[in-house]
Amino acid sequence: MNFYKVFTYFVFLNFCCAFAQDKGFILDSERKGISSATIFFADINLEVYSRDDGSFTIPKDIPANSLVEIKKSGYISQVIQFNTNKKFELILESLHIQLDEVEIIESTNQLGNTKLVSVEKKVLNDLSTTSLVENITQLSGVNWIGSGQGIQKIVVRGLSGMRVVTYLNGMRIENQQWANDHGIGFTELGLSEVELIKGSSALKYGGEAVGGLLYFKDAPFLESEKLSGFISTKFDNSHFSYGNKFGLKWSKNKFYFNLYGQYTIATDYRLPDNTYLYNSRFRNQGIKFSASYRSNKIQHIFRYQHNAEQLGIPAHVCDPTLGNIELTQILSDEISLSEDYDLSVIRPIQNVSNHLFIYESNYFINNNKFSLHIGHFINNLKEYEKVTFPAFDMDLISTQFRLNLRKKIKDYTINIGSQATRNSNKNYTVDYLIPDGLSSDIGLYSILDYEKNNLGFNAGARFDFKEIVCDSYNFQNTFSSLSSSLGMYYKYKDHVFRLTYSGAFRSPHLSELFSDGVHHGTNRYELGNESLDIEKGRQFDLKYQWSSQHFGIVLNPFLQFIQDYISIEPMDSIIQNNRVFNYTQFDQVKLSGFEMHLHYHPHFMHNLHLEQTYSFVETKNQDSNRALALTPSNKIKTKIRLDFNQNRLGFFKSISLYHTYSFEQKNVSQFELPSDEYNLVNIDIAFDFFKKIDFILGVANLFNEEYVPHLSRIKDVPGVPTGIPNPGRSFNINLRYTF
Amino acid sequence: MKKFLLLFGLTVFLFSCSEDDDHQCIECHIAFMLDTGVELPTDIGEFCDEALTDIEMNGYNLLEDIQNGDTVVPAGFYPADMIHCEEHADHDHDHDH
Repeated sequence: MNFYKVFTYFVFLNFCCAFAQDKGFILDSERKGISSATIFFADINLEVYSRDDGSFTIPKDIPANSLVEIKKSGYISQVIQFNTNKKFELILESLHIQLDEVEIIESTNQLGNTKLVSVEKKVLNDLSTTSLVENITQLSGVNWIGSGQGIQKIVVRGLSGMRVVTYLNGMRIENQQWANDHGIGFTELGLSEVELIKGSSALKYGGEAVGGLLYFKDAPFLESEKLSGFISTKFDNSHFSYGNKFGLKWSKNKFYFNLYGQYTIATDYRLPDNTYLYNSRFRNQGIKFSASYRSNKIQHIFRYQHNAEQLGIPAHVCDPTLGNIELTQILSDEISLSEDYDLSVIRPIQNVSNHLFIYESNYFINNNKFSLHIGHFINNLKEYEKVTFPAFDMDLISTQFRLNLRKKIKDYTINIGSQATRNSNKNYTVDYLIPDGLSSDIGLYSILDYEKNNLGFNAGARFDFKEIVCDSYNFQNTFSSLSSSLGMYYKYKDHVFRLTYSGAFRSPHLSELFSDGVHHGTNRYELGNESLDIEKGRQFDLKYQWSSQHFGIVLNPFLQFIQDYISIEPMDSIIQNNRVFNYTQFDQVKLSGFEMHLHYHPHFMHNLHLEQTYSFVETKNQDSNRALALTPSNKIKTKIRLDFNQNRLGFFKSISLYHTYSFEQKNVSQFELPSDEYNLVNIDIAFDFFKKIDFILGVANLFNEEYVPHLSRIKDVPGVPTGIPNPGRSFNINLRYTF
Repeated sequence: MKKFLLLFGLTVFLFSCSEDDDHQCIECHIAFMLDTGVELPTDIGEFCDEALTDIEMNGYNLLEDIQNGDTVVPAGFYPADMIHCEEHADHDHDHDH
């Protein structure tokens, strides 16, 4: 009798366990299962994929009412609130026109609701044939300043440096970003997406983002007990660069783990005339991991990331006062692959070492989500002019603490929170450019979103209080200001309108207040200005979107005013053989422009996509009626992609052709040279030889065009009036094995 | 587990790729300025380790005149900012380090 009782008990238990593993289904409009759809549980940063029949296993203990985004290429994405009592079955409608990252759609974001805030997104992956920064600049209105693939930084609608704030997994990246020769500080390793706010609407993440805010996100954790991952390799023959990466994801019960590693090395890049830009070489090493443990109400995430970079600074001359330089000083006729990966004796170089530690905790109760974020970032920058000791050796240590409560009440979502940051700058050399200093910032914010049917609005305010202390100059000052944002969204049939206003401020940075020394990366003597005050930005941004089955268009005009704009200007004096540049403030500058996106998808050829973006920006210093320095040239970017998934053609998977037409730029500041127009064509061919192997062959600068972008760091080199061109034609190979 | 160990090994490998070159010898030169404002690099030989650090930090005392083409570079003290040991673009690929 006891045997039967025990047997019945076990059968019942197994039966219960089998049905406790809830299943969900993703179906198309004909109720057929959609395979490989991504079900992204956004609030706990976890994703699963649907099987061939559209089914998927719902991870255990998903918090009630947490956000879930369901995505599949070719279908309209949906965001729903998870309901434990309801069957998880979702029908995705097919979508021919995808306006990619710019459209006003339902999606989950860190930076806010895309319907109400000007958030754009770009998917990042390990198979990109371009660098992380070049990949993001495929978005309209986004450009980069740099010299080759080594040093690159992002410009948003003509603003960069301290005005474009970068966040990585919730932590603000402080890496001496005031200078154009200091790059972004990390690579695409393990990242899945970047969100971008153009202008000053990013209240949750700080009021200082007058020009824009970039939020990079790691790839989500994966619900799968089977170890999965990839190994990839990439070769580019303009820099003779090769990079190897690996990544893996693993989970068991409620524990999740991601690990990534990277090593990239490059020599000097080849110009279209087959000479080489000496010292444009670089090396990068990166490792990162993240671990998460969650129960039904609380989730803990710990992340660590280390990046080590060595970057040559090209087009440098020992004595810039000599006037014109000889090209033989900065170009080589040949490279030696056995020696020219070496960065040990060439100068100047930067050695950058970054360590990032993050702890996140999310607590879910009813319709509320409490989030705690603690981050610690250590940036060490050494600049070597001599071989044996650095000219500068600086640590910039940032600690950040943020608490946020998200509460949903019917059609309203409220976010309230606080963010505190402490940055300390410390020098280890006798000579330095910016002194030791400490800045502390505390901000309080509140953001209200309302959304119902085809109407929505957003209103937010943030108050920041910042103190800067610099003992060397007996300086202690406080800066405080109020940032605000208002947005409205309305949908009428296929027409979508969104209007946003935002106001933000930026207090002067230590470098702008107290620089006093030679900056070897830019060949200038930089002088700070203690009397600088807060700069204030106001922006209006209008977005209109219309799409039919085969054609889509987005129009996006904007207007921005910045009062007390901080700028660095050349002076008529020389110190230590370098021209002196001094920080000053303009009363008001105006930035205006227009961005347009088109997507055409012919009915007779569903696998052909034609996308085009137009970006026009004009800047004006209203004191002098001249343009601001480093205003990007206007551009038309075209992308034509042909997918062979439907009509399989041998081993071909897709062919993509990219064309950029850059207009000439004659609107320049007083001491800046204009630049010429150019055409640039890149092509990528993706092959499908084996199931688990991705193979992409690319050609960059297909026609070997000799061009110098207006934002090139090496455009205005004395003695080279046309500037030093970007790399010539180059071939690249990307190979990835996924398991 | 095997895959995990393999990738852990790869990680260790990636970070062992850093060069730790303790012994460093480099050719140095005086950046001698001609009256025309053109720099005339004048070789002063190879320097290693502490001697290399010393010359880059403190300068170099040239004991005898050096004939460099048509120019005589006079003996005397040359400060650190006139001593260059780093390579330029017209390097000859024969350094030893």
